[in-house]
Amino acid sequence: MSQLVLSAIPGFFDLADSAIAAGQPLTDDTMLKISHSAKFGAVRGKLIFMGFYANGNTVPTPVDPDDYYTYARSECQFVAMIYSNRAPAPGMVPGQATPPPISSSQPGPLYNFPGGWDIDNASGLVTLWTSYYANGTETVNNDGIIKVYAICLRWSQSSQPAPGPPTPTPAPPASPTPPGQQVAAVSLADQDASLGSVTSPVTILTVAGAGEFSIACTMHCTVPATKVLNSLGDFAQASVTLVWGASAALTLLEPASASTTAWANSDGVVQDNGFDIMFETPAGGATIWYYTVWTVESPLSPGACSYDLSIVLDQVSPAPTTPSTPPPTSSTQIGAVSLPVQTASLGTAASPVAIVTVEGSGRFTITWTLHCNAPDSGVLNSNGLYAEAFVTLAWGASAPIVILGAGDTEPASAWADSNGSVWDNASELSFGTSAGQTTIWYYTTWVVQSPLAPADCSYDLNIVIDQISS
Amino acid sequence: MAELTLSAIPGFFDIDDSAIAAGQPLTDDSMLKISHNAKFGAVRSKLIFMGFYANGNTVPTPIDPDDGYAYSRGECQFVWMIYSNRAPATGFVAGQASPPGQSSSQPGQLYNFPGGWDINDATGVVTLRTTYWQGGNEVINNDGIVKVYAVCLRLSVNNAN
Repeated sequence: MSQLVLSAIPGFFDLADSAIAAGQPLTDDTMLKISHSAKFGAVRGKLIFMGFYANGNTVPTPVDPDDYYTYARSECQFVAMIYSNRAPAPGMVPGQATPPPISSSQPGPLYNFPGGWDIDNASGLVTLWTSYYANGTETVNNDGIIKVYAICLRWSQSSQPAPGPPTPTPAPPASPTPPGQQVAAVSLADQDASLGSVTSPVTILTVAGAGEFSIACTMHCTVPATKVLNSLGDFAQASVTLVWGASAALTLLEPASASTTAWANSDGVVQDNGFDIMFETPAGGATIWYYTVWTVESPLSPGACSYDLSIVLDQVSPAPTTPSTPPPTSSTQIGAVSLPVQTASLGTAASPVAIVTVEGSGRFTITWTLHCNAPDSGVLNSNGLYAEAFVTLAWGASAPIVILGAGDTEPASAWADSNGSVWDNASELSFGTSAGQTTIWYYTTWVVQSPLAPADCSYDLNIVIDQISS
Repeated sequence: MAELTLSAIPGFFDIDDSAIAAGQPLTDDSMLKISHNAKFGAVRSKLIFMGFYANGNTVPTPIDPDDGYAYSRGECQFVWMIYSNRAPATGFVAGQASPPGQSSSQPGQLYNFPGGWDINDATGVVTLRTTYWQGGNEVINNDGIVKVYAVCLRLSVNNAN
């Protein structure tokens, strides 16, 4: 089927019946208006595919393929279908037409899902809020992928005002935390300003060495129930976001978010929030810190709003002894892969490529870089997008390893397209092994979209494994 | 309310304004084109219920009840709602209009759900991937049932996957 094509954008005219009444001359003006209105009726309303999006992306307004009419935000309402609760894997481009790759893991079983998923029609901003429940704790993040369509209606003011923040279901009581000794606490009531900042956070405690801790936080906001509205027509609200962290890499003993938000609004709705997280400090110790961001929407009076904050830090036990924790002195390269101009996948999930086998417990770093090459030919794939070549690197171990500090074993991707865009990928993380033999392996998945010639595309792969300590 | 019925499938004509300008004879050709455009505008865009589907089914293209117009793939985009995470029970017929029975069990607590659910607009193929958490392991299968609608737009070529 061919695409309808109009040579000009039609208008609409609310022609009075009297203009075409009996006894009246039928004028060219009247006929033109009837013709334009008929065309307008044919193109006014439609559904336009916008692609796949994740949290934080902005869905643009479409251009109509019939006559290249550019829709205003107010003429678009977005509908979405849930493609996955998980985050996209690296390489996803907001708005891509094909289903994107999905992250290979998630923190635990689904809990509050969807926990406040929305596309703000006024801005196109995608907000996804998902929570998981594992080991007695609700872990909240912004996972998710949606497939979006725009319902377009010319000459309409159909957009809804921006929504308020999502209101996830409160977690059930957490399972009992292992008994510990309180080593620090923050208890602040009726606060009406931010505390600390990202560049100058507030210290909770400096820990001298390795240990296992729990940090528990609760927050509560107070706002007068005056029902005043903000500039978007929603009940005005005040919110506080707490961000916590450490001066050195901590080992989280379960997936957890580094921030949380509580709020209340002028309609009397109150959303408390908090967390209870277990972590280990490194052998060299760390300073645990936090800061808050306090926001009061106009026309609420800042002096009438406040928040309460409670943080308790307990030491549960000395840190486990795996991996062994003598401070690193120097590193030794024990394995490396350096493969330029590859044009095929290497290994498979069932039969990966071994990099190195280590004996016994130890501490290591793995560093990799990925780069793709594709001709800048401008050719399009079957979805009308610039054709691309991309590679995904997956790595792992034959025995359980412990990831130290930030990072994970998620597959990493890099790509290049026919428009000259290149997305490299590189990362480094540390891990520990236990007793016995552990083989570190990898495999790659190489895809070249038609009509790109596979022989014209390639990728470069470098992996280095260093041993830091035994 | 009765069903709108047209005796013939209307077309669309991008009639040039000059054809109905001052000083020009108003011809039956111009009037017919304007009439067809008005009818076309009335039937061009609509939502048509397609029934219930499971993984691996293919959603067909619909026939418009107004005038018997048979939509092409390029004119259809499918939107769907999750009816169930579970597989349909025995006896399910792809595209059936009534809510189907569903399997009486599932492997465990929902885990990755949806784990990649999509209807390919270019082919109509339904792909459902669902995972469960069972005994400390993720169990992956193709469970699920969706209720599908076609959003149809005559004389269009959608750019969906």
